Amino acid sequence: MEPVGLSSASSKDSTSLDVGSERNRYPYVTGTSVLGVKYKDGVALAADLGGSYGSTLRYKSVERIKAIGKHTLLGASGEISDFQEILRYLDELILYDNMWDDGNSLGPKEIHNYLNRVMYNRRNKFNPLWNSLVIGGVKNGQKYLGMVGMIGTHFEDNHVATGFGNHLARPIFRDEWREDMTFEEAVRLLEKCLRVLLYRDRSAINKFQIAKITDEGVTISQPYSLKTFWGFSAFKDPTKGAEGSW
Amino acid sequence: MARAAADSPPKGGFSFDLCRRNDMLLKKGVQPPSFRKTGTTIVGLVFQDGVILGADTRATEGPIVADKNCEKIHYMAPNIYCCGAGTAADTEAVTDMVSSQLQLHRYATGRESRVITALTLLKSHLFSYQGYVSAALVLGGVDVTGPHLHTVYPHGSTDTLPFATMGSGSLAAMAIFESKYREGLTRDEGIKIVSEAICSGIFNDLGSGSNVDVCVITKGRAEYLRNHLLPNPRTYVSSKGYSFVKGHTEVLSTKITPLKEKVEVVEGDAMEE
Repeated sequence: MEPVGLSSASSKDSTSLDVGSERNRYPYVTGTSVLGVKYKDGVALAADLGGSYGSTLRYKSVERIKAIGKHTLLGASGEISDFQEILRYLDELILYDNMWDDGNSLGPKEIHNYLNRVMYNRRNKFNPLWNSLVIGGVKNGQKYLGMVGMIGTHFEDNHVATGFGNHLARPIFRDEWREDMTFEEAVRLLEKCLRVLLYRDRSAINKFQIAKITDEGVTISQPYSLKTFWGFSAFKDPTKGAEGSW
Repeated sequence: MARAAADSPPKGGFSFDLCRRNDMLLKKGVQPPSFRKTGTTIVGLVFQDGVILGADTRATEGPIVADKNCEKIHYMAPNIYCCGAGTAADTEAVTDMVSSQLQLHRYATGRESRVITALTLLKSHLFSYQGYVSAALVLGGVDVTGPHLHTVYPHGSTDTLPFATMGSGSLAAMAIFESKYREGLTRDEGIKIVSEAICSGIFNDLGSGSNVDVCVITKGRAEYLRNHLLPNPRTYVSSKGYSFVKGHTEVLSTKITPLKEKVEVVEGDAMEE
């Protein structure tokens, strides 16, 4: 079915067979980094609650970490509407899984694989879901933490971060992550990184949620904020000696 | 000179004639020459007695490491040092130039150089070249007015900060600083945090690597600790060298061919015509 008035333009558009298809070229409402670490009893994810519209911080209560089924947590950065679409796909997936009623339930490995296929297939059609996803979960005592990017890159690791977290949080994780951290230690490590991101990422806001998943189940904390320190003496009067700087 | 004055009256302000020439060359397909950059991690922090500067030692030319152990902490004055990131030639030239200007100024005034003098000389030079001199610097020193730490950007803007990082590894190093820095650090604590920040850049950024250089500047004394840490040693090199004993390589067959004499030596007087 050819749209009227597009005939001359579409002949140049040789890569697209389906003339009426859309292409996701730019993200509009975006979320910033998501951090994830494995700890002794399970997996912890952290993200802030901000949705930026370009350079405006438009939405300040966007929950970017959600529970999927009984065994998984999904955190996303990037386009929020694409995240909501992914949640719809996963809802359908979990619904069908429950309808089988066979005693099995989809675990984090399966969700990771499903999302990897979805993301890769969309990118092959030049219409990607503009997200970086963090999947964490525990099933039968086995902890799992992985990441899927918008082009279908996927991997599994002990600590992951998306977006700016890659540059600011991963060095700290590499130095300080330990296999047998308690939940309190994991939260301290996540908060350390969240604070650095709050100082140095312009699209971060001071309102965070930390989610944890263990064999017992999922807990997503209430939003809270971190204390910041701005009292360095050099900040008090920066141009005292050096005119023209700030 | 007379002909130039006759051609067009001086308008004042910046002259962008060379920019037009560069555009024209680009359109004709002439690629600009590539340059060696120092993909880098450079840091500085203020501690209780002065300033500590740190830098990695890798110089890159695109994806290749051009120099494994270069010096990125440049001398400006006995009490002022400057770390440089960006194009290696630009950082060398600009710091050398300002260092000479500071020395002439010291002869003229008879006083120790001040950090803001170096700062003003650097920023006015870089601004007049509108960002084309690609030098991003961390300038630190201690003078009569106290310890100072500044960052200078290629376009000529400056910041005065308690701790600063620049270069491609600046985010990795800044993550360490933001989580560990506090005021009133002692010298050893300061050196430890600076080394950790540079190591964070070395191990997490591809443009930085090799060793850690540190420079501690206090009132009346500057200590340049070249290669303070060597976290990337060559571990599998034999110090004795390699010897290849006879029998290392299996001999399959031997053939000896004696050299035949082609010239016959005739007895007689030499040079007999």
